[in-house]
Amino acid sequence: MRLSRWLATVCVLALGANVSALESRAVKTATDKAGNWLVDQYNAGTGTFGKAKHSKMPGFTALVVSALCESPRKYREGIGPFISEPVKQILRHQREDGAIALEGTGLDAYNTALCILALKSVENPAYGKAMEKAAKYLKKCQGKDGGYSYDHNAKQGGDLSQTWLSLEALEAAGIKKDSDEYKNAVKFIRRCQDHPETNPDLEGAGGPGSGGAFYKPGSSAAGNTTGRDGRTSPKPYGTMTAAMIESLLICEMKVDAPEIQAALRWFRENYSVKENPGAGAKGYFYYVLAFAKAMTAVGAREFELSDGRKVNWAVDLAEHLLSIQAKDGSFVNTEPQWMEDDPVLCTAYALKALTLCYQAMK
Amino acid sequence: MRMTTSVVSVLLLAGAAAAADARLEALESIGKARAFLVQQSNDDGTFGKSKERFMPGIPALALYALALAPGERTADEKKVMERTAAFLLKNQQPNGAITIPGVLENYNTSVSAMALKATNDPRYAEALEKARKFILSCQMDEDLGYKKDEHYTYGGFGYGNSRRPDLSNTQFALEALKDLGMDEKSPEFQNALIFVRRCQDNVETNDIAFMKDGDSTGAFIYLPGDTDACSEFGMVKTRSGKELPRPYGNMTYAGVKCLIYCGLSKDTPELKKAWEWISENYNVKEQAGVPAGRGGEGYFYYVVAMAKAFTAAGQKEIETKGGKVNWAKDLAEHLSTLQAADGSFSNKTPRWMESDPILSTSYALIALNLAVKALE
Repeated sequence: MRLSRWLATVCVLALGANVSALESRAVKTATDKAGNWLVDQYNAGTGTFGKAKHSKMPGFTALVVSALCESPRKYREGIGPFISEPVKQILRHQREDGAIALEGTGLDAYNTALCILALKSVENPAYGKAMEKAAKYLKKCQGKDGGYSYDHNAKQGGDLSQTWLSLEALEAAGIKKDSDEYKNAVKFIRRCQDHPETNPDLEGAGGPGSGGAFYKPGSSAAGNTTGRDGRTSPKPYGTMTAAMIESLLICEMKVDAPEIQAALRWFRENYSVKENPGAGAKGYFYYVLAFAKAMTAVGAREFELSDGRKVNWAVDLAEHLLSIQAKDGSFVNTEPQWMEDDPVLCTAYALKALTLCYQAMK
Repeated sequence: MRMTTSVVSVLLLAGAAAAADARLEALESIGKARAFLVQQSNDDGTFGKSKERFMPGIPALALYALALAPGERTADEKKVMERTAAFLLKNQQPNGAITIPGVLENYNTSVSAMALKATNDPRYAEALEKARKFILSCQMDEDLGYKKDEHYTYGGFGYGNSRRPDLSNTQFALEALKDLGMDEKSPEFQNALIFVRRCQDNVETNDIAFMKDGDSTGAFIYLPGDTDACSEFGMVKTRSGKELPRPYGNMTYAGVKCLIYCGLSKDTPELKKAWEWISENYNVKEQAGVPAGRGGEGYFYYVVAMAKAFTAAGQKEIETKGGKVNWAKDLAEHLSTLQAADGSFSNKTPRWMESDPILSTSYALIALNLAVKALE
């Protein structure tokens, strides 16, 4: 069975044609299994999913809602309480200042951004006002340097992960592309890339110039590396490099811009659908989401690696995800960092990524 | 030889006599299909060698087909039926479902209940009552947090108790519940009617806003909604310029059957419209209403839905573009041309497992059994 799938992939690549109907149907089935599993985790009464501590956070609920609504089944509130009740919970948590978050978690911007994306995904025009109000709050989380931080007090400073989600949310809320938020964000994002040509922090040769991106200026979850001039610089990894690509595209940068071309070069060197390149198993499911989003935004189905191999990212990623999907439809990471020991979180990320694979394969 | 028989009958006889001839031919097909199923029966009560054979719904469908067959059962058939019934009972879960846990629970339970009930064996009464309760738990109603005005899925039956419902699961559930003695007077059937109505492309009777963009063809979709997730055959552009899920034959016959089981009479706007579509799109050779070249997909499911709908309506003849036709005669005649020498049926199009000869032979046998009844 795996052999025939492999053969099919090889044939498809050889022909340079779209993936066969059977192949994309298998991906659709996997999205169904993941979706059904998530629906089974719905808690009537609280309108949440799963039993983890963080399941009470509206942003967490929102992530599951948008995963289900974006999926090929295109769930909407009318489908059942497992969408309509969580949406009510999201709206109920909106504060006066527009944030949609639990008090005291310190993750107000993440929660608010994810809630905006969920409200967008249910396509109910009645929520336009709530999204607008939430976007207003989110704007307050942008620092002077253009990066978005965990909340409007911005004590920790901005980071690329938060900036990426915030930009997605602002775009979803309909914030016009000529507004300053996007322009300022670009300045920040540039400083998260190992690209001395466009990153003022690394001017000269403060980084190896790989084109990859890291968590925030001067810091990476993957540790450090040495620049061409011997200076220490943060080591890039997959999630942030992908997040950077989509973020810059949201900010209306063109694919042929040097920043994006350098990031794509990094992926040609470090292409992987089996791990978060540069960080291994850590944050793998967040990575697959970011990677699928970036590739979708770039719009390229095929991709030539630095060693000359041609790959189809959607087929590769879907195949690997299918191979690690549990029998019950769920996903979980062996590496617990960033809450990825929670199958609800991993399954929501994986469902979103599989949906994008399916759309690219159709 | 078959050819000569039918040529002779056309020349010498007409009307009822032709039907009688078709009936004899159908009985012959039935005999061969029965023999095939018996020959494929395994000691453990399953049939065939496919890896899906342990899903109770598959042997249950075979048992149902054998139980509905006309005339007496042979000693071999009795033995096969007995051990298949035992297999089904063995698969009954503490919650009453007759299924592999987590796998298409409502389908498996509903078909298993229909099969056990069809044997008329009083020993199964207790198991059937438990199954009935499980099937009812798959209905989207207040117990599961569904509200009539908020959820367009209200009243439908799903795969299990927390899934989205669809018209296919609903038709199997209602069929089973009806066999188990429930009818349109029950609130469950009345709630199901709300759902079934919402699956019909019928502006007059469908109260969902986005279904108002439809062309009122009278045909049915898989579940209410305005996305391609609501039809197994994609989207279709309506006269209003909007795209809506494409209604198709399987669901239309399922819808008609459900409307009748829910107590609607022939002159209601729902059934009138549906029969108009069936008259326009009458086809026994492939599934009606689907895109060109895809009529083979789900064909054997289709023949059962069709035979059930006509049987429920008590309708023997119908006016079509090509004149008045007798569905049972047409269907039986066409099915007999598809039967393999060993008595089996199978679909070249593997969708919905129909390349499995156990499944397709069972479906065909059910349709033939109903056709023979209609031809009496």
